[in-house]
Amino acid sequence: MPKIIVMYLKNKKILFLTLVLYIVSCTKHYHVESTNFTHSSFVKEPSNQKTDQNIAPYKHHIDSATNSVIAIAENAITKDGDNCALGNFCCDAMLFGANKVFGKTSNYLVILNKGGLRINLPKGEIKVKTIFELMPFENEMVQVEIKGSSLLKIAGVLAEKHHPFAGFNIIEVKSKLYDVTINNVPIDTSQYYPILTSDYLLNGGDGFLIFNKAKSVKKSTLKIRDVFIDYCKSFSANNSTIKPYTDGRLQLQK
Amino acid sequence: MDDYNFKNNRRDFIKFLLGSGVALSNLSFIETDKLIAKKGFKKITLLYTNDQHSRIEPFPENDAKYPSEGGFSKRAGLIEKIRSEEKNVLLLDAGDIFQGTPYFNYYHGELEYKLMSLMQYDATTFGNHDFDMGCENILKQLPHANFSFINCNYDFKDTPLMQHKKIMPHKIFCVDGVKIGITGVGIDLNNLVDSRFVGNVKYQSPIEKANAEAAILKHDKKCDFVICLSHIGYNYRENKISDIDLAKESRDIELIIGGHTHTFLESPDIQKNKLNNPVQITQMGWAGIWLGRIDIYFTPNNKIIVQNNTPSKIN
Repeated sequence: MPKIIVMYLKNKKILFLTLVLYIVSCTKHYHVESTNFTHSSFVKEPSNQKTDQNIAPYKHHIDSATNSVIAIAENAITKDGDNCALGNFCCDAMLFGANKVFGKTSNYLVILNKGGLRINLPKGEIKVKTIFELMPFENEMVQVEIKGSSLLKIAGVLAEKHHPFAGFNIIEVKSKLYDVTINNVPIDTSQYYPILTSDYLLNGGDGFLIFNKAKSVKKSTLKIRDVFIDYCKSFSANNSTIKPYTDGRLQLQK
Repeated sequence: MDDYNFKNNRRDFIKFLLGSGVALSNLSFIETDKLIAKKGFKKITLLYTNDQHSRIEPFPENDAKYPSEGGFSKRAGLIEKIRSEEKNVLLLDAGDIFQGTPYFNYYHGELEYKLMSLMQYDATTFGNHDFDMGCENILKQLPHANFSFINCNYDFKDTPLMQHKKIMPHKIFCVDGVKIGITGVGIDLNNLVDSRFVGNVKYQSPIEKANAEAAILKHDKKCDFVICLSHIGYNYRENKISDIDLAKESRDIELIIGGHTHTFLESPDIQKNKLNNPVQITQMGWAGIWLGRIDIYFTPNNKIIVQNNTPSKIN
């Protein structure tokens, strides 16, 4: 029978689990033993010249296309928390874009997926390339209508996975029981509501099923990334800066 | 199980490795390594990344989480340095090379493969985002990749990648007379990749397929050490197959180099397999911020000593 020995190794406050497997056998098989120890922490390696030379022509082109500063953020815009500032920012951008593409209405609801927002936005300069990193996908903005009953069904998923949304509130009244309201009015399960989302989620991406029953799908052929870029530019155009915020649109039981 | 506590550091480990009778007191790092070789030990150094996501350049200085961290160039420098110190290096990756910066939007992965070839990567596996522009794009970029793509649970029949010579269900690396067998598994692409780009790629059970390949590697091909490059994810709250499930359900895999969940594992997670033997799971977060390193010693009396190092954090 194999004999397993566990060794611990301490170095600079760090405790490392060390596992040693000692197989007592007559076969030619190797015995596996395994240990841990600190090797290095932060590595200050110089850049590698050959790699830099290879990157240079690509970088030159990408910098010229994506290096311009399009907005200033007063604080980092992050995915931290139940209702996150980054989600709110992106939903606001969708509303801004939809008002331009689909026409002005105050009734749009927005649903995005948290996993689709790939980085936190930094405090300070936001460049075109920053938005490429936030939304690297080629997903397009779409407008669909879904029934209030579907919206009720998805509320639990939005709440549990902290997906970004706007235009309505989700309140967890009891464990895993959610109220969905618009301007403090419970949603009407038989009514259809206009939703802004991505074609990726419309097609069932990230496990979203509610859009199966969506009606009157309107495609914008506008990339969500470009919607975000336009929204950033609108701050600069108004001599304004981005002020990240969170609010009470999602209230979970503690 | 017996517990050992190496309070000090590497020196205690080397003593354990060579036996307590060996005098080490004045030997340097390199000299102890020479002594280890002289005693008939073989050492193979695994270096690895996962979820590089086209992060060619370091994160910007004003990044909220990783200011100035990562970047292909500094990693290349570090790898070059390690190669100058170590004879037997295998450089591996666990997928999602593509997608995340304009480099992918503009050049579709060309530079990522080129730079990995320059660093002399030996193998990777496919991540879901590697399919973000479809099999056609992978096919188009493969000429830039001078390394292998190891996956055993995607069926590429009726796709442009069918029977491509750089794609294989397993590969054996003979290093210094030691046989390292590597297989690889990927995640179900449905719901993760736009169905247009999933095309005809068929997902099969990673556990069944990896076990079958690992058995071939271990028993038919007599590999000394079996690694699975995995892009199925480390662990999930929901009921979804993970590296932990794979480890528990496996028989012949010693090490899982994982990806997908962007998990920063400072030290490996050790699970027991079906035969009650330990399987190590490791993952280096994402974006090339950390470079993983595991040194495997093969002793003259047929022991394997796996030495896990803390990740190198590239800054």
